[in-house]
Amino acid sequence: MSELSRIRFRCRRGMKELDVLLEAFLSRHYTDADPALQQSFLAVLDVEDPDLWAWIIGHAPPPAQFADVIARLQRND
Amino acid sequence: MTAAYPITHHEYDVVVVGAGGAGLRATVGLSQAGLRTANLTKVFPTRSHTVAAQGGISAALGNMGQDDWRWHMYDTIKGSDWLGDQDAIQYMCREAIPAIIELEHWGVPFSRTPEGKIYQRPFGGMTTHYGEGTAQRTCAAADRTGHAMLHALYQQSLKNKAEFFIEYFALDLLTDDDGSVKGVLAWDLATGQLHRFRAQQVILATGGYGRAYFSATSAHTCTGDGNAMALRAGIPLQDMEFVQFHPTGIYGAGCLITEGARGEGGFLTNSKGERFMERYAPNRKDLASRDVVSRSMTIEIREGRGVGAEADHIHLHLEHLDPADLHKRLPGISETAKIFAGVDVTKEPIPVLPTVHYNMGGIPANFYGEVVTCTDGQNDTIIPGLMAVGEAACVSVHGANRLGSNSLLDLVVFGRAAALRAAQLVKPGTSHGTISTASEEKAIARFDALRNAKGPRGTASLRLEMQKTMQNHAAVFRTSDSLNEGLVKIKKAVESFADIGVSDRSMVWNSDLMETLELDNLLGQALLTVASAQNRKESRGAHAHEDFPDRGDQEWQKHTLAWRSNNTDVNIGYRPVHMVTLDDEAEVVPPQKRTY
Repeated sequence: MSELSRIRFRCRRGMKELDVLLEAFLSRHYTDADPALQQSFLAVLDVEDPDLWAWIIGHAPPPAQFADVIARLQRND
Repeated sequence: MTAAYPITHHEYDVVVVGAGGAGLRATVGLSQAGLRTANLTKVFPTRSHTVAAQGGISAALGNMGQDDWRWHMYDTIKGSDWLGDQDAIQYMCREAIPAIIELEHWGVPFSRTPEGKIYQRPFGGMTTHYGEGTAQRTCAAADRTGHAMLHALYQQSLKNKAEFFIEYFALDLLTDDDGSVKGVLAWDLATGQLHRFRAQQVILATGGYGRAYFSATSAHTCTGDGNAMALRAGIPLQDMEFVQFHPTGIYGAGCLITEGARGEGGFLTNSKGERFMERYAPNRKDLASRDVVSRSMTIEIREGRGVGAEADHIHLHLEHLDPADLHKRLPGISETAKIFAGVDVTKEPIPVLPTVHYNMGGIPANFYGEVVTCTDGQNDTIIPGLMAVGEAACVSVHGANRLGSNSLLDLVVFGRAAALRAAQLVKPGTSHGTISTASEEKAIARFDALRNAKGPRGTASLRLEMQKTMQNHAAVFRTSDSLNEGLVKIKKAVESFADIGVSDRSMVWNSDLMETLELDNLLGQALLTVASAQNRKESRGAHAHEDFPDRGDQEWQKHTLAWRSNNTDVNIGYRPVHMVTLDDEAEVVPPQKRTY
């Protein structure tokens, strides 16, 4: 509980758009995701909001290590 | 009770709550002045909601042509629909210039003109020669102004040895027996410890409370925690009925579709496929001002012509536009619509809804940042030990309606002003006053009661009930009936909080408990917003009342003060609008009709 709760809090951002995407992934997919995707999700939480947003809407290409998780977040399913 | 919660004690000259633009600017100034300063913040500073402010910051630098802070002052007064305090507005617009230069020196990478000056762009409502020309007054660091400011101010704070307590949730103000503020109780989310901070001055810089509404552009963290702490300490909130809406937030997500979408030819339709803006604004149609478009959309929904399964939103069409133009002129819109609404804008309309964007109301403060209230016929009684800045405060420079690019300005000017004032008031290292036992026990008891709450009602479900009530009854379309009904419903939601249940009893990273504390904070502000709106029988700025469509300066050119007198009761009082200037450098602008 506490670990997921901690991650949930780290999904809190300055930008509403990122709140929505990160919380949706955490609540719907994180637990069932493969460990590599889980790891890159945790790592992407440390990225500053404007960079993360630029990758998500395609204004800048994400670094290779984040390509999968960014593509997954863009799906917002 | 206290024994159950070991408390870590701290003493500082000044404690700032919140590390957005206003809190950080105050923190820089305080630490520069040699005051031992602690900053408590719920989220890491560069994740404050200030990061979302991409547009820019206004100041009459005159880099692009003639400009004058008096013209900026006039625009701000007019924008406020004559509810702004003119001395405070004069202060903000005049101090804007040194405040921006400071930011530049601290490394905010403002965009430049070819000659190397700070580049300034035009923005809605910003004029020259008292409404005659178009001003270029807004400075920006590309589309990252807010982030660049947070970054620079955080670095300056650290350089000046301010101490940060990050991921600390501020619970309540601590006072002495007379109600003077002496400190703050906070909960360290990571370790679960409670911390008591004593201070000569507490500065609340906790932002707005957009999350009280169903559709808001505010980040999830914007729950107005400082406003609620002030309320619980018996302090009123001012002008809470004035909430700024943006017409086109994506339904369900709240993410913004810029007004440029309609500027480039986008239009709105209802469930009958009708371009209804032609009825409400025959000339400007979909390009009418923000408040007109928002109200028209809301009327369509209320009269049963909304789209979707619940007939509760509107369609924005871009599919008739050339995809290449769309991509070039409105970068990011197609991607935003795809991600948040699952819509291909070249084929389908985007579901949208008027969305809360900014709270003009908040903790009443003077232009030094000191919190004021009315007592015994005095309109500006200072509450000792407490200051408020930024969106949490109501200074009031935005009055009934804020102009774009004046919010970032408000943050830095009044963050700076509060630090200057605190440096005058506080001698470093002074011994601290006594916190009353009752004040501390009350704060701990509230925390403990919620932590152990065993009621049947879940936090998420009650939050949704509150948000839907606010959206339906206290958004852009307001009538006496809708507000009366809204007040009954919001009181019911407030009463339901007694039945709340928290499932997680732990102290560490307990997001269930934190969201319940935040809901408690939001409910009080929601109650005051509806009660203040129901009380104001005129239309002014963001408060458009269908039964009282005109501005009534004779009776209503005054600030609302609202106290929460018990769980669901609100007492209303008033403060006069300051129709004075600071000195003879500027003249008072008398009320005029607000037309653009």
